[in-house]
Amino acid sequence: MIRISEAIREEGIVLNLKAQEKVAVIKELVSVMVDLGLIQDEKTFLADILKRENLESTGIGLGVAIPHARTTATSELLLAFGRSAKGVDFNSLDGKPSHLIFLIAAPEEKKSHYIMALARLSKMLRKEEMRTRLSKAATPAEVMEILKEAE
Amino acid sequence: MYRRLLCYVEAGETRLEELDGVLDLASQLQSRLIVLAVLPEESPDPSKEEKQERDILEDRTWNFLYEIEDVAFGRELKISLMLEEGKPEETIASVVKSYEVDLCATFLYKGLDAELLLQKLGSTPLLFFNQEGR
Repeated sequence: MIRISEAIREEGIVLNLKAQEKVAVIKELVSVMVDLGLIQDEKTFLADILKRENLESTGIGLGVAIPHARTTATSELLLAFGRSAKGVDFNSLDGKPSHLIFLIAAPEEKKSHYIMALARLSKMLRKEEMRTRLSKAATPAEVMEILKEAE
Repeated sequence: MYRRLLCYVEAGETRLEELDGVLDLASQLQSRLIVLAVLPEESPDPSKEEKQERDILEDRTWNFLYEIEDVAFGRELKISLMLEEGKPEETIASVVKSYEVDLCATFLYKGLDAELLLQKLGSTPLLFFNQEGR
């Protein structure tokens, strides 16, 4: 069973994203993962994420975006979370900016884990209460608690 | 001409391979493919069993949607996923209107009233695919 709360670390949570534009936000979250030593090849990972981003709208609406990729740049399922008060245009179908952004990286060969993580996170974030709590969380530790409780 | 193609799916009722025809069509038309699934509206006071059942259905549906997305990505198709709640015919028609969908595709699901859907879609063309994906 995939647990979102086990794939993310407190240090991978950015409550006030500096970047304001999609690619810059992705780069900011990727660099958080890299600084944690979780990504072996930043260039490859960024390219994999952006390739998907060019084809898909990973903004799933309701103010949420989940940029994601399977990549050779990591050997484990990883997540980072960023929050933007202003919101970022992730080309969501509903046209609304994304405030809650989860970046998912999964090893190329772990397709089922990757799909499960995406599905689990999407399901969690459809709940308004969950989005509100994540929007109001004051610390990364609180975000971790919210994710654990939701699972 | 067909900038946005909407495909309505029901998880558990369609196999991934059956979507080949829809994916081929989106590729030929160079359309953005919007894959829509619709969950029934939650009852106001669901029992524990109903909640569990719905949880499983939602899990299965999201899994199916992301499986489709992964295949579409492999074919370099532009794709968006949507999961909504309500009655399928009304929800499909509402998404078609809200997101300026040019063409609609689906399968002949038991729970889908084809006549009602055609009526609700008005002038938006609707394609029915069979289980061979044609």
